[in-house]
Amino acid sequence: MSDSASPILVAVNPDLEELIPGFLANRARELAELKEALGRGDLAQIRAIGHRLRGVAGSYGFGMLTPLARELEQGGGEGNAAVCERAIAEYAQLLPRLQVTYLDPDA
Amino acid sequence: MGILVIDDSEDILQLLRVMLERAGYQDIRLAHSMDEAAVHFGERTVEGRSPLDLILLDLMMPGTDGLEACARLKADPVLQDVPVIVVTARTSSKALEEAFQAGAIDFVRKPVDRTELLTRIRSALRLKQEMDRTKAHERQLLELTEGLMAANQALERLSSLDGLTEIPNRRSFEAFLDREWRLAARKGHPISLLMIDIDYFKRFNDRYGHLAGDDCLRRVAQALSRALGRPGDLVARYGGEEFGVILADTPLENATLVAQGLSQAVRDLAIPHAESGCSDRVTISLGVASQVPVPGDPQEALVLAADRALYQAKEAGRNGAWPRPVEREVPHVR
Repeated sequence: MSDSASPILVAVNPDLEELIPGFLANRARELAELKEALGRGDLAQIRAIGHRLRGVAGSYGFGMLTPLARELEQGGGEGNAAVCERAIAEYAQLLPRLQVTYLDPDA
Repeated sequence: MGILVIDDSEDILQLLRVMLERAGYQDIRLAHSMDEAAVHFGERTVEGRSPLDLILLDLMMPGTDGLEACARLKADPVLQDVPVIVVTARTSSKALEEAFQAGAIDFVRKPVDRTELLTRIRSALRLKQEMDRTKAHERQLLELTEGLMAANQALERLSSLDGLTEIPNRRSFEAFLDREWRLAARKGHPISLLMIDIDYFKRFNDRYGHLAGDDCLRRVAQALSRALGRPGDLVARYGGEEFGVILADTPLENATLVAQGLSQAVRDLAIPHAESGCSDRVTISLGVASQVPVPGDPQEALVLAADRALYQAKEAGRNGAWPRPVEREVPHVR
């Protein structure tokens, strides 16, 4: 069991360095949207956000977000608030720990 | 190379933009939806074509059927030549088959792998370049062909032979007639003119088609040429289905015999003509006119007389000759 406060290294292509601040800002905003939607009971919105996240995470090298994105999408789609809540909590835990390191995967 | 990327995710748009720019592509356009993309779809170069060389289309945009959007692009007359690469997380064979059926040329998977993306884009752009080159060549070829046809027509007008039958053309005929007529006038010799017309030729064309009609003209022209041998004789194509024959140093009686010989020569071709009103085969009508010209006489009188004789030959039932001397002689009725 890993220390819940220890950083998680994300290897990102150096070409994308200029985009990372924007990407992380979008993710923080996204997390806020998810919490807000959960509070409203808007599971359809959670599904949509999960779908969007799933389409983006891997492309930026943030593959570790993909499973939870899928959970959000599925939970939201099935109307399962418990699954959504759990996934959102996990996301909230994970996001601050992500630490980007620039490594060319083709090098 | 105009590349248009359509994806509802700003993150993906930026990602693709960066990847494409790093790979050296410069004219990159981004749109979050098909609606936003409309301005790019409508743009035209000075030649009236689309400035787009490639479209990257996200199939998973909310509220948009990506496949349908792709199919619509392919149906547009200007945009259909722009290759579309779909970006999708669904890569089952069924999904891909649907994409190809909608007109996509290739696909890129999500999550986006840079190498895969750049490889597919390179291929698609190369293909577009090839297509553009081919189209440019086609346009060039068309222009050249039209230029060639115009040159051919000009050449025909300048040359002395009729293009289809390869016997002398009308221009030659008139020049020859002028020369021979003056010569005849100087020497006081007779000159004869035959105006010949293929009987019911229009009906022949209607029945057997224009290719057969052309072939018939060629064969009749050849038969007439073969039947005449002397240097003072000329057979030329005078009009569509009309021929003219000039017989220098030939009086009316001889010209009439020649005319009958030509008539037989054409009958001997035995070209079937089911629509002829006077025979089972292709026949000709001939008008014969003869004159001993006097200097100062109008040359046209001879041609006119031959024309009238031809008319009378037709009236008399076609498939035959009608001789008619020019005014100065006693009118000769056959």
